[in-house]
Amino acid sequence: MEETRKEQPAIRVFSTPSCPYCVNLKQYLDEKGFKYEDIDVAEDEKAREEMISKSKQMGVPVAEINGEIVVGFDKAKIDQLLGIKE
Amino acid sequence: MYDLIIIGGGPAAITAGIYAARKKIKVLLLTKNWGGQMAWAPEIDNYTGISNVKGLDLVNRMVAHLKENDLEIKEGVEVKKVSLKKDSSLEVRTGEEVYQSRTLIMATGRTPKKINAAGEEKFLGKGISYCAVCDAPLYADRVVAVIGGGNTGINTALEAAKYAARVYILGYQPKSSADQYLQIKAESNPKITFYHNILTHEFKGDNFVSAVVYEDKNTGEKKELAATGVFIAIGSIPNSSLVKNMVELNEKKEIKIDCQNASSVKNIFAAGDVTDVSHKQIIVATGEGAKAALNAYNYLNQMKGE
Repeated sequence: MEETRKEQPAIRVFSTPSCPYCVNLKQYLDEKGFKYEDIDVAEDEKAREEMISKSKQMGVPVAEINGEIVVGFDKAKIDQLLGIKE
Repeated sequence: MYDLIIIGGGPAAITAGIYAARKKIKVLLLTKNWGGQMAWAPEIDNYTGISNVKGLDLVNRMVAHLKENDLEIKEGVEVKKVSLKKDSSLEVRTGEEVYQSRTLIMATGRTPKKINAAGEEKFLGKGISYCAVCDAPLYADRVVAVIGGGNTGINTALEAAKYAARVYILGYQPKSSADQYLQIKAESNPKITFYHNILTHEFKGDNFVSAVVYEDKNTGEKKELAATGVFIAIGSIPNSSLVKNMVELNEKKEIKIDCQNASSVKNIFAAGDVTDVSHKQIIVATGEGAKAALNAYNYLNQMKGE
């Protein structure tokens, strides 16, 4: 049983259009009904620099969930931060 | 107890899932992500019926096709252990769950090979990547080095060149082993320079990679190439470790299968690039996936004595 969601968590996803793991992450968030800011670091250089400095690395995807950084499609950590139960 | 568990999310696994589901047996497919190496291909132009398609688009089409069928799917899960029980059924463990099955199809594909040069681990994700379609845009306007002069290397360099200022291919062989068609594409790209007969020694930098130290095997001279983006594209290794103590592998650690995709253990089948199939192609993997599912189904029927 999914918990009732108090208010929508602040989720920002840094990704590139052709990255398969980025698509997996966004599809997962869509399936679970979460809204997120979709930031294309292929186009947005400023956002690219922000992602690199915040995550201290250059790989995509990077998710920022209520200020916490998740590198890659780390399902376990995302489930924990968003209170998703299988 | 399932009739069949399929491990994997690439073209072989997906096709096996479709064929098995259509036989109305109890099927579970477990995968960490979708597409396998196919998801990393910028462009695919040898998949019959679709003359040119992005790897990711083909993945999405295959996954959608699979999900129209009646089977159980667990995504985002990693299989930790497979074991054969006394009654010769199979036990498959993920981080949280344990599943039992009469048969198994290993369709776990391959993983990019590491070059094991100094600094490779340190700078992974910090300027070093194995996936050009993922990370090439992040190296926009940079000097990029691609380690590997075969098909994978050239495809990677062509993808990187869409964004980078310059791309240097460091090929180990005296002469590239890539398809002629790809070599011509690389040579005619003004951003790409191709070095041959190169031994990559080390990746240097502070927080992020900034240079590649290599040896020119023609002269024995050690040189340093300034590069703030590196792709390692020297081929791949089979993901057979889950069953390496249960089934026979060849010297390349690929699962040895017969023409019915059975391994040396009769209720463990395998399909696609993890096997010793002669050619690792998407279209071959889909065919192998179908064959593995149909033969697993035959095995189940024989067991029931039908």
